[in-house]
Amino acid sequence: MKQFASVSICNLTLHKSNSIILNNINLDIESGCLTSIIGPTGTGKTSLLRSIMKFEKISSENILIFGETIANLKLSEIARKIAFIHQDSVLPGGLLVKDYVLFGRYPYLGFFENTNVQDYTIVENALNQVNCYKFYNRELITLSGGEQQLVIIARAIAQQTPIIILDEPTANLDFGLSAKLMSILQHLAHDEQKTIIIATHDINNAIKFSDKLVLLKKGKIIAHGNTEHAINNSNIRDLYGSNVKLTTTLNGETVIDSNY
Amino acid sequence: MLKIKNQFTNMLLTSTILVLTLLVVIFFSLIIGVADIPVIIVAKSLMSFFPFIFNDFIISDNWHQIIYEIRFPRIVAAGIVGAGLSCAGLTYQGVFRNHLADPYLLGIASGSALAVTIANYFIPATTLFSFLWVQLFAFFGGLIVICCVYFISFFTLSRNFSTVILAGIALSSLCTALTFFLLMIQSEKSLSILSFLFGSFNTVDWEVVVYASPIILCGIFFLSFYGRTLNILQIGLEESKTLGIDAHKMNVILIFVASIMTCSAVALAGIIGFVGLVIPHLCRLLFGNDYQRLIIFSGFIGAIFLILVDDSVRTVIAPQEIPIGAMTALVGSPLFIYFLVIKKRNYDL
Repeated sequence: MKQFASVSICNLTLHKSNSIILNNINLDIESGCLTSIIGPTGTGKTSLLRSIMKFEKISSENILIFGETIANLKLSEIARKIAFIHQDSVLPGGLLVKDYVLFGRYPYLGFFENTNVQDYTIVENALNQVNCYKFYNRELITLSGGEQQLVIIARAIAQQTPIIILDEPTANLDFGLSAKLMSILQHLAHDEQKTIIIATHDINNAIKFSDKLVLLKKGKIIAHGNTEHAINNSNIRDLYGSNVKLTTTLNGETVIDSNY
Repeated sequence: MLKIKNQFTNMLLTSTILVLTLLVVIFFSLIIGVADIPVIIVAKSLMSFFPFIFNDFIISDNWHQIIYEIRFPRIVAAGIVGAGLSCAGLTYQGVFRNHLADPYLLGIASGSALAVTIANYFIPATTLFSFLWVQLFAFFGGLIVICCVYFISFFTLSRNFSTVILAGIALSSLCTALTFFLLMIQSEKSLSILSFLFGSFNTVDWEVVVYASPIILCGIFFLSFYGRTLNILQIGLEESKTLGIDAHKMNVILIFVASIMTCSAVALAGIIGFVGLVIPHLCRLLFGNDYQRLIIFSGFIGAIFLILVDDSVRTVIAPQEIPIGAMTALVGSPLFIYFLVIKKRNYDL
């Protein structure tokens, strides 16, 4: 049997009000990897992720999920294959953490079916995976921003999809929490063979935790591949300007520094 | 396991309490009224419907007519309208993700009012108030406005709900303006439709109830299956899509069902404000924010509330009646404020 990439994007071009947002994108994303899409603001990272979910008006033939074109997939089928976390998730008031995470089970429920014991076990496990089980019965909006973000990721885990896409998951998180979140994602990719795709501005964490990097500039991929290959001084300067450079810390980690 | 069982037991317990309360309220409402019918007579008469109990009980024709032809249809109508309006209000609030939405948001009330005023203008009052003309005009008046709102938002190609609400508000204002205009130029006729504009169960009989209530009851039954969908719609349109729900389609369907229910409620009893806005909130304060439970509970609470309010309408200054639209706010506002204060809930609009 031929092994399909989890997500294949072929010749994807996206126009919005007469300007080109994405320009002839070709990309294969493998499972078991944490893939980070990086690039300056307004470069089309979010649009690329939204295209995979059919949120953008594109010819859906361009995108394949496990070898199937997304045009042929119903919303409920996509929901069982991809969990998507938006940049600014809306969290309704008066909702308990467990009930919110339970939303992740919705794609599996028939019309007359209701959530059962198994679903609750999955919810408990998902919350355990992000160390948030202690919030099980708390009201969602009473949690801090970082805790909320972890609970949102628990919802995606409870969805039990082979692919999880996150749009800037570490925005608004402090340094420690960003790293914790990235390590949870890395663990999901490596230990559970999930395909994790994130768009992020947190470039140092992306370099540290990602297996693959996609460098996007003005709607075009300028480099793509294993992190250590994709990242070099010329690529980084191409993306962020001539005042940034790669340096190595005392314990051997590659980080990006600026000359300002 | 235990947690799910507890949730289920809680739901069952609350439902049982609400059903019993509703039955007690119905019984109480059958007793009170201008005609003084002893409690024991009403009880025996009701029980004679069950096999083997008081089967030989005979009630005087006069009392029989008061209980079964005047009070009973009125109570049933009040219950159904109350349940329908609060469920419709809850659905509107859920779909628009706005706690200030009520069933008249998109102009159903103004549309119905205009239609009835137009009918009143062209059809002689004696014909108009016989048969179901008022009800029919009210129903289709509301329905036409809703369809117009849908068409406008369809032609603007907007998938944004603000457009729908703005179209509703614009049409609503237009209809209100035309209604006032018609009322002004035919002021001698306008008194006859005031009871419609302020809402009343005074003219309700079984015939009207039989036509209008199935629509509302079917609507509530339909909505009760979509509690979970409404829960998920709260996290936003695109996020609902990531969970497999076609949010746009669902919104259109849910709003349409809630609107049909509202049109029927308006046809049955005229324009009754407050219930559709505040009963869902009262239920939120009492039972939390889970729409699966809220749909059912707000139906019951709405029914109980409107039956009780109608009781007060009938009795406070009997034999005259207070417009029920005014009474709902008069009774409901203090009640709501009381719950708002004792629950001390951080109320996030």
